Amino acid sequence: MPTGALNNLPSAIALMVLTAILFTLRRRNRHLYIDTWVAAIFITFLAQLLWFIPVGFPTSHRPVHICALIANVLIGLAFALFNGKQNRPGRRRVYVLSLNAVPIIALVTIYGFDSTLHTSYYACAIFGIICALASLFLHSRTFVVIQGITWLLVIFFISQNNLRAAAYFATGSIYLYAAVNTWRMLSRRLGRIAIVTSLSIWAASFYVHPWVIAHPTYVTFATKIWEMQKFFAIVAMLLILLEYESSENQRLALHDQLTGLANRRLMEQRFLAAIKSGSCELILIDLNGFKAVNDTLGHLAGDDLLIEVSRKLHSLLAPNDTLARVGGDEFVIVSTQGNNSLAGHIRDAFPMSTTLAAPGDVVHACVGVACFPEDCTGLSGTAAIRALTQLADARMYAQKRIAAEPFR
Amino acid sequence: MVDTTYILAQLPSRLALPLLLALLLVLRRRHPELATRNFFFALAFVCLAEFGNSIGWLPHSQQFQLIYLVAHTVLIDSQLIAALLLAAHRRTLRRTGPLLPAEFLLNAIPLFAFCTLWGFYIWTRWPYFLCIAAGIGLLFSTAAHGRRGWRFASAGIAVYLVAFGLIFFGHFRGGAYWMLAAAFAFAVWNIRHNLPDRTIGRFAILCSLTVWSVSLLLHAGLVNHPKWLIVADNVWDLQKFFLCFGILLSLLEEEVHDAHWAALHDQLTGLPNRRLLDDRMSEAIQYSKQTGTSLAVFLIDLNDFKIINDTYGHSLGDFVLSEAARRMKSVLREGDTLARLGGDEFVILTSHANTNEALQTFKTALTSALNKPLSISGHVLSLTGAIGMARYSYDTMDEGTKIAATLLHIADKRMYSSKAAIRAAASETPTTEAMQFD
Repeated sequence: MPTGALNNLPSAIALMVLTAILFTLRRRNRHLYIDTWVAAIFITFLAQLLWFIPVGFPTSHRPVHICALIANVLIGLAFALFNGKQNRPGRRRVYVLSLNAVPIIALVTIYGFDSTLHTSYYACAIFGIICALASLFLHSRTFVVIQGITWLLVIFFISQNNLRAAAYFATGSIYLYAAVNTWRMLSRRLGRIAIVTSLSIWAASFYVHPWVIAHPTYVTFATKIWEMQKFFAIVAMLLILLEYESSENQRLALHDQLTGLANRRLMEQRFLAAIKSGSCELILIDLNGFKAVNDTLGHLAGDDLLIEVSRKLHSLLAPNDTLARVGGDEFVIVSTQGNNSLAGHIRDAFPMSTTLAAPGDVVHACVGVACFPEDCTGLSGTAAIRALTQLADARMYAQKRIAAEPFR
Repeated sequence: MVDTTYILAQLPSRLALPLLLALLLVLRRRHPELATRNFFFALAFVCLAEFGNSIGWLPHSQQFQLIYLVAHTVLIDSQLIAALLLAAHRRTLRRTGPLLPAEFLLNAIPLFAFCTLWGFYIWTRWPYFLCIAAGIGLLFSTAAHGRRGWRFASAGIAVYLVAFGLIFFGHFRGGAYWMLAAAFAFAVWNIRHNLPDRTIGRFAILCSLTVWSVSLLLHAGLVNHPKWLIVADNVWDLQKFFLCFGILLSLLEEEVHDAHWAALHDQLTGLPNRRLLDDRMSEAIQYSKQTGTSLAVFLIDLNDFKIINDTYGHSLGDFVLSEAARRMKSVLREGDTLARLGGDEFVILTSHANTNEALQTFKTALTSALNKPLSISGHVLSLTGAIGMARYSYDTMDEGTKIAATLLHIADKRMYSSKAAIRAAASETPTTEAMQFD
């Protein structure tokens, strides 16, 4: 076995196992959309296998070199397709990127054939510029700018007879775009820094390649980085998924699943913070006749009603107020607005008309209000929370009794 | 002189691990809920081992002799500690709990001493034998005290005996690396048991640690074959990525599993929520349609729960709910479902009660399990529930998707009428504890 192949054996095996593992991960968790990544890693694995083809097999090394060059473009393309959300990339993005990949693939193929015919290189570059300009109407401007500059540089390198630089700069541009794109698509997360670093190093490897080839001292250094950063990309990608899932779980733990509002736990945290800040207002809202809706129209209709009510209530709040659903048909608002206008607005909101064909078409509610520090002098912390809750509850129930009076 | 090309070639792999470590550190800071502690410290020790290895860059000369020895010791010992930290990983250990359990620490001492001896290139046999004797003794005593099984102890003793043989025949390097490989094999064994079955994260970590263990085993033999040393070097470079990869994967799978669980269960009691109940009900109805067996739905509503919640606070109310769930669970049989509908409403789905008598027996068992006074933090509360029951296909002949809703509705009505009956009875004899809240 040639030494090159022997040295690449560990990476090849590792990439094979990783591809299999990621594929299984995807199969088992349908909601993790990592197809483009799995594709990228799979092509990386295939490219790694090229090392095992003996030099000069069957007649020349050219086909292997061309395959490796094209594989690099395809890997970049797969990374660029990743759109940061847990879903499929838009069709338009796929078209634009595939269109722009064509001239790059053509260019690297010509380069792979060791052609020195400058006209063919220029033709690719001009085709590339046309594709980039055509994408102006379909895709982001950043992409067009990157492609435009790249093709101008490519033309410059061709004129300097530096064909290697031309081919590698064209390939690097896709990775650069993938890095920029990922940076924009992902939120401020650790995984974003990792994946963008990895893609930038990947792009940089292409940009410095023509220079490194001329300076043997740095060849091993560059090769090592090249070997490592594939794995770094996979780690980064898992980090993104992990952070996403973890934040999602935290959100689930502190929010009501149905309405997406805060749950009791989060409400109590916010309430404590509000009490510490000096003054706040607690508003309890209990819907009347909700059980009847649930029983007569089914709990799906009841769910819709709750969602609708929670939306309307939410629209009345100031940015720092917390609206929580603390059980069946009970809502709580913790407000730090400081004036009593919110409670009035909430009271005015009922009877609330809804789109549901509920009995009577409108939703009634009882509202109980307690204020800190006026309503519980001398108390603080959880003691204050309990006192205020009891008071607001009592006031709400007093109202409920009055509301029930006329029907008796 | 120091060779620039060599240093440049080493630099990327030396920088990779600190970089991964930094990522993991930030991850730990931002997501303290993830069980990353042991993993993080294990990787930190691997990093230290690599640092020890890097001292090989220094020019070889007598004046650096001590630094070499210390660096070599760090290389060996850090790997040992990393293996033990990985072995001690448990999902439930988030921030609390010891980094290494006491019996690990105790058994690690002779192992550590053994590795340190080799780290300083001690070429005398008796100190190694001393370590082996101490190690075997400690294994015996931990097994005798029941901290670990005899199987573990005998495996450990076998490892020590092989090490004894290697040292006896003068294979000092072989002995030391044999011990390290055994430590990693131990980590493999523990991880296999401590991480959830059939997860790919576990598979990745196990792959990584197995390769690690095998490379340590082969190391002593490879030292004299430069061609294979390069391959071994490449394996080592990938190894840390692979380990990191496995760690992240296993954390990811846990999070996905948690999210899935949370979507279908009630957080407080851990019971199925309404969504899962809907699924189970339609399954059960389908089944009873096909087989002609009957299906019973019990709806349970705790009496005066709101009063308990308002008087004593939500934390006590939460306790009451968990206790009620626990009591009701105790009467369930295999295949029954107990779900929390929300608030203080629970549903039991059972296909075991086919006859009227069986249903009555079940209801009596449920009532007697649930209706017992509950004493908590100085209060004695009467915990009672009103029960309503509906049966398929006895109570409803509805077709299609509405059966489940109809069953619950019927059970709800019956539950309310029984609640009204209880109230009426209670108002005649206002002596029960529950009444004091009214």
